Amino acid sequence: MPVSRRRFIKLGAHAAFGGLLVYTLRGVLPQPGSRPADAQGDDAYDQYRPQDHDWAFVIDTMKCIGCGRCARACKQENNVPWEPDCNRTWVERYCFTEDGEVHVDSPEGGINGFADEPLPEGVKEERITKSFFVPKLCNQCDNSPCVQVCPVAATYKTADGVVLINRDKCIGCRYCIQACPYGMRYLLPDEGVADKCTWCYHRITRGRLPACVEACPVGARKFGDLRDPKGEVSKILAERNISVLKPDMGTKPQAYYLDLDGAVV
Amino acid sequence: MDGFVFPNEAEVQWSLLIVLYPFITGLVAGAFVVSSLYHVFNIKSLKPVASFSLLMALSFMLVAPLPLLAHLGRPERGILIFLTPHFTSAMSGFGYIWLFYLVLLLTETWLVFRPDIIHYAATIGGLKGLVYRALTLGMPSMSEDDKRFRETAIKVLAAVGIPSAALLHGYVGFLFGAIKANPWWSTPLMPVIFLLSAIVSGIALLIVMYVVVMRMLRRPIDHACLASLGRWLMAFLVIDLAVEGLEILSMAYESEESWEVVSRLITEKIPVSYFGIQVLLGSLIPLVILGAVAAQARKGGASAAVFAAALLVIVGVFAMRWNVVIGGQMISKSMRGFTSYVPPLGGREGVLAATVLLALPFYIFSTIVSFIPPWQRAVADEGEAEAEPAEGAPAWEGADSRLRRGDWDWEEAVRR
Amino acid sequence: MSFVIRAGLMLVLVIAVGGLLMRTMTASVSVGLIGLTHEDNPRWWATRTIQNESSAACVECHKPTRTAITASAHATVDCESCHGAGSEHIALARSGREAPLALADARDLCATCHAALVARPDGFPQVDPATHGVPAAGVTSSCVSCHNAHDPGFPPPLKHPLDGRADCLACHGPDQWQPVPPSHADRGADSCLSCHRPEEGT
Repeated sequence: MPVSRRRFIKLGAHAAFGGLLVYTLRGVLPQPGSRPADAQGDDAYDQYRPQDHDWAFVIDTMKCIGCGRCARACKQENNVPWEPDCNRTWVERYCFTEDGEVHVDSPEGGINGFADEPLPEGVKEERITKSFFVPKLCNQCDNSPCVQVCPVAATYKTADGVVLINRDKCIGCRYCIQACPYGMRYLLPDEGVADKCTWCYHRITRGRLPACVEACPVGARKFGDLRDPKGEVSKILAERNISVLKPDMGTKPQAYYLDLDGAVV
Repeated sequence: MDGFVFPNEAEVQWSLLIVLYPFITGLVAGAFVVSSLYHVFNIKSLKPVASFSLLMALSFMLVAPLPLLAHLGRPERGILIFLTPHFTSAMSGFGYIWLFYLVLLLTETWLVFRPDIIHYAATIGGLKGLVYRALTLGMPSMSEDDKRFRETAIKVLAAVGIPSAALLHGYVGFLFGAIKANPWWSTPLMPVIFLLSAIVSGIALLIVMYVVVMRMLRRPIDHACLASLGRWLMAFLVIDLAVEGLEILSMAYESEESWEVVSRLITEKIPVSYFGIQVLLGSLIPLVILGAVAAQARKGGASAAVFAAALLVIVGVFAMRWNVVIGGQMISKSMRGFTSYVPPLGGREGVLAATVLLALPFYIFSTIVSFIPPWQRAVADEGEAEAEPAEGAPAWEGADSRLRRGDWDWEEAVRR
Repeated sequence: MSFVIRAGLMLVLVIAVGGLLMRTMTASVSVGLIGLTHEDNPRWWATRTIQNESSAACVECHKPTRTAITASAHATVDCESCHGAGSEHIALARSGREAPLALADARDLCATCHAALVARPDGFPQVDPATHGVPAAGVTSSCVSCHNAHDPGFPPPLKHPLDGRADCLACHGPDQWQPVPPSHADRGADSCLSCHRPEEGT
């Protein structure tokens, strides 16, 4: 028999109130999503104000010797799986040959350097005209396509210019991996969430440099605060000719390259 | 692996299940368009399949989120798409668009079959009768007001459903088309292409299912209706082919930096799937067949040809989804190489899983029609012009006489 | 018409209540504006454990080595890039326990940077690891037997003072106990000191 309007409204009100009650009391329930502590003292971070900083990265391709120490230090620092398809940063080698072809390779991301690796397939050493290394890492784009396409807003850009991923929100849809023009993202195999280079956020917020910058023996990687006009990075951006990767994409990368060859994509 | 790919690109991220999802939502959109062509535009020749296609759309709609859910790295968090959507992302549209459209489909189905449900609820007993009585939602009869309301509501829902169906599949197209990082995907035409191939696949599957189901039940096939469906299929196929052709032609003509890898993709990596199956087998040959059928202008007798063309189209559209999803990911973002993908047999995203997910809608459909068979309406559709037989085809039974007596047995009908 | 309103209200209610319940069960620790902000997440990232202490931390115990290296050609080489991540070692050492850092074989380790590769900048010191410093076929010597890793120089400075050692060839002649490598075959005995200078500068 049909429900009378009054009873119906009463029922609805009870249900709504009950729902709100549960929602308010959620603090009493055990919280899902809390991780075992991997954390280290918060004191330095408590003094850190993200809005006072604007981080930027500079890569001098002419200095890179392809030793791979950066890639190695990164994996150690950030507990990145050592499998080949999880790379927060890597080094590519470009070989130009006499016939005008460009050959690129990056054996395991350059983690073991290039000393024991053969030349790219089909390249004979005597035919090489020009050759160099290019380190790559997340550009922390100002107009980031990965932030734009995340369906649950799990990835976001901080006030100090770093794009981070909230591992508690990420649903592992991999749309961000598709959207990144630079191939910087990957799926963490065990956790099923997206991951990428964070410019060692846990180091730069405590006054240090990213692990790859510290590991580089020749100063090919530089890191600094654009708000500091006397800093090395600010000076380079003010005085030298710089370029970025895939500028036509409009992503506004914050990782700048010196002496970047036009063939580098 | 061929050439140079970025270190993170060794594995293809969006697997066979993501090929399945646009295929399934495409079928939904296509089937619903047919249903709405009748309910909104009064295309009389499509009346026999109007309710059939509605149920088909519903069956596939219920299965649509499953391949997505199975693909997620964290499926248990899938609900976040509904709770914390990020509206700059095309994918966040899935939650509300799918939900809205599901509600619309459920409502329209309920309204369309309400007379039948009421009739069965009154005449059939036992467990099945209980289900019918539950389906009446506590309203076991229809007043004249209700009947009038039903007519209007169906029309409204069917009308609203057309742009919703367009949105349901258009957003998927936009999801791919808006990714500037991938040259094979990035084009403003992608939503249009997806939508057109969706309609095409929906009509084609409808043709196939209609013929198969009617044959299984040994019921007469409305050949005029099939011929009409064939003509609609041909029309949409022409437009679909034109837009797809325009897209690839534009790319080839403008010959941008990415054209080098894209042309290598379609000529070296997926030529069989692209030129062989999608274009030739799935579009051109069916077009020729359907064109011949239409040109002969016979109202019946060409059903076998239409059926064959429809089968080819379905295969072609599946290949198109594969070519877009997998093909696009085969191109490395370094523009200098390709990865490869062979779906595993087992596992969460394997061929077996995909087969089960594709079979599921048919299972759901058979369950639904065991309750509300669209070819055996209990009560003649009210408010419509009295059913006049379509030329050269047997008329729909307005009401089966045995049904009126309340002792109709569906299972027995099948066995006979 | 009433059933439409009823059904509609019911639907809205079910979705709202169901949604709130779901949200409660799946919410992460920080709710923010129903999870639309990330108040806690930057903190989570900022408080991860630091694995690589910078070279500045090594000075605490290893001052002389650090002083030497900062004045040498290896000034920009991080201690940890050769010796491995140091956080654990430092933590243990500070509590009085020894934990020596393992070092890879010198030839492989040094070759990572110094093996001659066509892609490396021309001005960068590179050698062919197969032939450089190999006294005889099949005999491999470690890089550190000639080069001091913490003060490499180029060419390598002498490891010993010259007092009482006027005749280089007495120890470094072809048949002596530490012969010069084959790369020195064309160099005269009187030119040793033109490249090699003793560390103490006598």
